[in-house]
Amino acid sequence: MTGWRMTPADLEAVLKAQAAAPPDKQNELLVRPLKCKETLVLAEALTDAISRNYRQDTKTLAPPSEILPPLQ
Amino acid sequence: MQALPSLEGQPTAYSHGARGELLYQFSAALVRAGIGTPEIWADCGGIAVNFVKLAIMNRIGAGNGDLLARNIEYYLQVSDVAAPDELLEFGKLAVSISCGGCGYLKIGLAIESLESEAEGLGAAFYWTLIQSLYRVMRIYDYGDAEQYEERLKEYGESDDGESSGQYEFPEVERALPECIRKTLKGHPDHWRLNNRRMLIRHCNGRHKEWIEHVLTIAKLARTASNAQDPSEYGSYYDEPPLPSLLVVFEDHDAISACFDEESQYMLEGSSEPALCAVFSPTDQEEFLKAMRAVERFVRVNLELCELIEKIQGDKGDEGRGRDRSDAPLRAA
Repeated sequence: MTGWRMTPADLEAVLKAQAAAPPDKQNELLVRPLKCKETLVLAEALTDAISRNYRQDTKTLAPPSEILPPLQ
Repeated sequence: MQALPSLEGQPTAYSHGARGELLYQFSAALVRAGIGTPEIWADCGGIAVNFVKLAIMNRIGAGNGDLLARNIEYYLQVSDVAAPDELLEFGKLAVSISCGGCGYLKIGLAIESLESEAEGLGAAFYWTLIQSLYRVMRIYDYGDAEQYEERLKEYGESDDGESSGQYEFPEVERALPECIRKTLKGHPDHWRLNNRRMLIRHCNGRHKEWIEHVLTIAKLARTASNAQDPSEYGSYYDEPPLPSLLVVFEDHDAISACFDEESQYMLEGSSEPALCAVFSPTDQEEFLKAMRAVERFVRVNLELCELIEKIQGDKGDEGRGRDRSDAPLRAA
């Protein structure tokens, strides 16, 4: 089709279609849990627990001293 | 025989843009408003992020963008967060403008020149400009320096330790030209209106261009802002907006000294944006209101930048040439 020029109305229709388009298959795998209320609640509970635990337990592990064989 | 499940053929990376539809809805709103066009879309190869950026830049204009960049460091952002880590209501976007380096206006010589044209004209010019800018954005001027000096004096009086009596006070009031100092107290009725009337009377005089810019700023400042009330999002930030303009009378005067001291702490916490407007991209009326808020802010700043450059040019002042590179919040 020669001489066809996109009008503002055409462009708006293209953009509206893209806004309404569902995510592709790969992204759908990620989108599904993000839309699931139970998953979001669980994720929040988990991250809260991690940060609480991190703040309370600031002990660091002692470095292993005799596990490695001595250097020749 | 048991076998481990193979990962062959499985995708090893995912990328996902949450709320991606907002970008397309915003792009469509720009097209409806005539800001985004099919030509811009073609130039961007159909990539929505680039389309939005170019459409906004085209609307501001390349020359105007350069004028702003020469004088003030602004960042314009459109996002679905109201503040860092604070997601907006679903389907909403916020357009915000933040200042990273403030402008610098040395106004002492200009006031002197205006006073030589007519007594009181310099003061009318100064106060109309300052009071109009206050309605649009945060600036750092005599008032802020005076407050800093008061706080410093309070510290000095309450300090009875070793450093008591060793404070140096900037003496801000002495930095003011005489014509400004005598207008500080006891303003007569209709003072602001009289100031504007005085400027209008002299808008065909020697300082026509300066006065025209200030009157335009005053007019724009009196229009409804359409921006979000800072009380709605201020609690998410540690500090008020960074000042967009430093107004001094002379280089290295007391106001400049106070700013240099205070600006050392201005970047320690998060600061509110200079402007924020929240809108739904599918609600064209809301969208246009937000765009009008941005347009008003940009137009005021363009007038201000032109005024800064005209005053610097007319007074043969290099302005930005002075070295402020060691100041944490650099005046551009």
